Amino acid sequence: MIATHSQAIAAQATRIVRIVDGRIIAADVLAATDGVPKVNRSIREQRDGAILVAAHDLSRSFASGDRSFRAISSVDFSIRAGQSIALVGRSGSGKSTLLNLMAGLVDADQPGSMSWPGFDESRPLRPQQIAMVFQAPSLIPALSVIENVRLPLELAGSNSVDFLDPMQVMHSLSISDLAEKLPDQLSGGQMQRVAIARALVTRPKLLLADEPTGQLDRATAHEVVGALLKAVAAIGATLVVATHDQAVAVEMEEQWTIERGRLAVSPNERDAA
Amino acid sequence: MIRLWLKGTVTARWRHLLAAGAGIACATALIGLIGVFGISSARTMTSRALSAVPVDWQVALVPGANPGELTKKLRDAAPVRAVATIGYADTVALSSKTRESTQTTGSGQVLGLPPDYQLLFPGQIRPLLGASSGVLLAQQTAANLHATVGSIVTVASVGAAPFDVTVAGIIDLPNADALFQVIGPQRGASPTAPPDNVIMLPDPIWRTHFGEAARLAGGGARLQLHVGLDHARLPAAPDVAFATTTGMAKNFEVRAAGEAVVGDNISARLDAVRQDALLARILLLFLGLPGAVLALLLTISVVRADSVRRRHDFALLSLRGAGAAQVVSLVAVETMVVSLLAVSFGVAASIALSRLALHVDVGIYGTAAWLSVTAFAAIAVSSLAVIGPVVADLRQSSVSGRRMWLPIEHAASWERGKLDIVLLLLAALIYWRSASTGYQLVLAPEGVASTAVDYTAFLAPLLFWLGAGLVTIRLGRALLRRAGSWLPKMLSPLSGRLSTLTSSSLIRQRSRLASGMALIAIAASFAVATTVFNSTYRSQQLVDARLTTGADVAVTGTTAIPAGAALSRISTITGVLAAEPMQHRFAYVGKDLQDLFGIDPVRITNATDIVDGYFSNIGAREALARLSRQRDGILVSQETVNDFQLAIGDLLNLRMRAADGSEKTVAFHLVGVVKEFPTAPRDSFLVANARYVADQTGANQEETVLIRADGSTAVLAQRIRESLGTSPPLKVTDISQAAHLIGSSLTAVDLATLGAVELGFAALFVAMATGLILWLGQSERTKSNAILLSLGASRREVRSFIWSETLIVAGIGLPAGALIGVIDAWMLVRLLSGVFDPPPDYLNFPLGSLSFMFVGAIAAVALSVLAQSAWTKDGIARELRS
Repeated sequence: MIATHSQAIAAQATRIVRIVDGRIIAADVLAATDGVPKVNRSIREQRDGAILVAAHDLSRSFASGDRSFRAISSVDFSIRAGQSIALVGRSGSGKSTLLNLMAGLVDADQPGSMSWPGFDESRPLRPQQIAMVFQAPSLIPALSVIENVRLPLELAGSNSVDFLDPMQVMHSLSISDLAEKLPDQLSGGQMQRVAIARALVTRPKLLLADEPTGQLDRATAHEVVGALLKAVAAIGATLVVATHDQAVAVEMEEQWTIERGRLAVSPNERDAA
Repeated sequence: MIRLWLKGTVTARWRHLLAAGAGIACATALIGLIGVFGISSARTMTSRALSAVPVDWQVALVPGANPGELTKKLRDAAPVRAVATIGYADTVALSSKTRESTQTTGSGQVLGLPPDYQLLFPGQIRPLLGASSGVLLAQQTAANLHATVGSIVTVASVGAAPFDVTVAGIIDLPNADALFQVIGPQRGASPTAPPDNVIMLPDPIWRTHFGEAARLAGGGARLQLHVGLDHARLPAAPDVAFATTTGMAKNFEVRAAGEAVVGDNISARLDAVRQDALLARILLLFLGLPGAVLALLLTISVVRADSVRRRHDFALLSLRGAGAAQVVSLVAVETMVVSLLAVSFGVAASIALSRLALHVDVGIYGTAAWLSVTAFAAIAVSSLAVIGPVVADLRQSSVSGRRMWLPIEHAASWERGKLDIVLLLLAALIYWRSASTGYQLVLAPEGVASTAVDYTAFLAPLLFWLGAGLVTIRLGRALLRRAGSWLPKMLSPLSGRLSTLTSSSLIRQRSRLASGMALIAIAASFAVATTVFNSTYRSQQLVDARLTTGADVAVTGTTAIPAGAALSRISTITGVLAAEPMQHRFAYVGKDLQDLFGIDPVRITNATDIVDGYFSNIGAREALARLSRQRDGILVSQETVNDFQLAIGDLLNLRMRAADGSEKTVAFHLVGVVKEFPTAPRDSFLVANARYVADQTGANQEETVLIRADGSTAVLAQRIRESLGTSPPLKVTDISQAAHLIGSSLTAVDLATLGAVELGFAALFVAMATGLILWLGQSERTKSNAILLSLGASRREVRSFIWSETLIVAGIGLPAGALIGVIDAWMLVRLLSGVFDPPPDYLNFPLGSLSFMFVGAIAAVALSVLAQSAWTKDGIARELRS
């Protein structure tokens, strides 16, 4: 007996039993969650297309014992405002490292470079500039849901008129009734919705999502992706999603494939083509 | 699987393993060290006591008994090192002719000594002049006879013809009281004084003249066996050694019934110190056990601090089918490895500190056995300390429950049962019981082998300490629960706009934070209590020494050669801050001859400290004021007040010697009760106005001068000796000498080094409690910190989160600990009143040591915050992916 949310693994089984809300059902529930809303093109067209992030000969190595391995190797790209990009690749291909480099969470190896022309270069990772959503639950466990969502506002200075109302964002993600709950009391899907709400509340220009549905079953993953795209479209943010799930990838305008630390098709080459 | 688990644990949780190991090692080291010190100090007390006994047993033989057979029985009953047969004979007079006259003494004793006596019993005879063998004359007898080496002395004995002997040497008999004691049933209530005249003859001469008389009852001569026991084969502890020697003496008396009676000098000496030894044991228990309890609590806290991550591990193991037994077995192996290593370090630290700091040989049987027992107990207790919380974690009802980061708050069973209140009430009850019995912790009735030690009294400070720790948890949690209104404002300067969220986070974590506060509080209280107690003990040691000496330095003379005559010369010596004379006379209270000290009640405090503890029911100032107000006032010792049923205001007619040598009755009025007084004996004495005593007796000389020193007392004493010269027999003593001489007093147990080592441990515990607990919480906070940074928080903002928690925990824990520590120290000092002689008037707060402790705690806090702030970008990224 194998418990999985992977359709590929499920296809190998002689019998499939689906569980929804703790009850075994016979029907295929995926049909109900298909049809994730596409990004609102009209909003995207209003973007000026300015470069937010650019990389030149970007590399990053990590030490493992007395050896080192290259997670990212000589990558060039630029991300313009309004793009939605799926960063596709197998586990260990370098997707997360590339996202961390984009966010400025880790530093690039010399002589390659990473620049953020669209942001304050000295500290690009600020609530109103770049926001991140991670694969693992990333809520502060001692803060309630509403406090977690409000946290970036406090960090950014909550008096800005550009920011969204946390309760409205939560309402749009269907988690407003969870406001006073603690992260320990939430399911994985609920936690990711809260993480998305927290990422969006300051209207970031760039949202980086690292396998946001990696720990969710397919039905919940679709719900979360749907909610993410809808919210991103609403605020007009640029979106980069690292995923190995093709179903998620196809929802983005562009798919960048990464293999062994290299972008299989260079975005710049493709642009040139 | 076990190897895999250990490898993973060491790699991932080395910090917690190290901290848990440090707690276990500290507990082992402290208990081991205190035990070693206790055993060695007991051994020191025993050997010091025994070294003052030249002859352990004096066996009086009945006339006709065979010394050879009795020696055999002695060797069967006890580990005998040396036996010598001594003859005692009565003499009616000794006389000596000089050119001018013939000197004749009164009655005396003639002893017959074997040739190797002085070799077997060194210390019994002190040669002063001439040979150390042959015919020896006691110093006083030589003075009476005007005899010296070469003089001929005629011995006139009972029932034998007078005979002449030539004096070969003059000797002193420092142990005359015991040497001439009456063995067996005594006539009269008072002990017999040693004879005024003593002459010692070689055994053959003595046998020639008294051998026949010794075989007859009432012949005026008798034999004694002087016995030296093998002290190395006696138990180290004075109380056990006392029971052993008493038992052996009784055993011999049974074997030699009708032939001999034992004069048990060794047991009498051990009897005098065993109460001190028992008090020493209690003292070390008081000092050591809380430290060990604290170290174990720290260990448990370290284990619990790792519980979140461990719960995740267990959840994963459970998900993969591991049963509770498998999980516990993995933890048990992990615990055993950590315990064995930590205990080994602890024992090694004990040995190293014993050798280097206490200069104790740990190779001797008692200490080696103690360290072994400590090691086994430490392994057992620490294993339980580690496995206990793990099993508690496993009892979490579900896998999801084990994954909870913030445990659901519920009142613990101790909280529901109000255990903290119960512990405090019990502590108060036990303390009250001890107080009502006059803090009589040790009962060692004179001459009775069995002893009673009230170990339960120790429960009062221990239960108070633990109860106060639990109350800190209760109050800390209650305080944080209601902190919503004031905490954000308080944290605002530190956390700025994040203060509201920081407060919410801290309030939700109140259970964990309150536990941290309590741990810091009990660690700090241990440090404060230990420091204050040790300091009070040390200062009281000085008071005790000053009480014995009289002042920093004292010059003692006699009525014939009073030290007061040299007062003006003494006052001008460099280093003398103040010098005051004091009379030392004798007065008869009824039939009792007691010491009487004549003082100037206004000026005496210039030269020495007169403290409240010296008096009953009144303070020192009031006692001296009463004496000053009433010219014929007198302070009388408690014992005399009890014996003569006296009350304040009573008239006392004392018989005193007047200047012309006649006896004069002097009237005094009782103005107060005195328990101790500088240079006074411990039992019965009197204190009066010197001027009144001088007027009434016509003798205005002052026998003693008390001196307050400015600087080293030993140096000043030497200067005074040089100034006074050697001609007048004035004796100069200082407190540093007295501290070494107080052999039977517990305060002679030098706690200074142990105190310093304990201070080190206390500082370590405070640092561990503050720094380590906060540092260990990092594993829980690392993820939160990484999330904050990923949200765009600056490092300063993240640090403000950490500082807020640290300040709340340490800011409440440290002051609470200081308060608990002061109360605990007060309780300890009161309970151990018997240790102090006299009890201290107030606690001594060593500001230097306390500041060192406080600064150490603050430094540990700062270091822990810095350690938690030392994150790298790669570390943050890794944490966010985990």
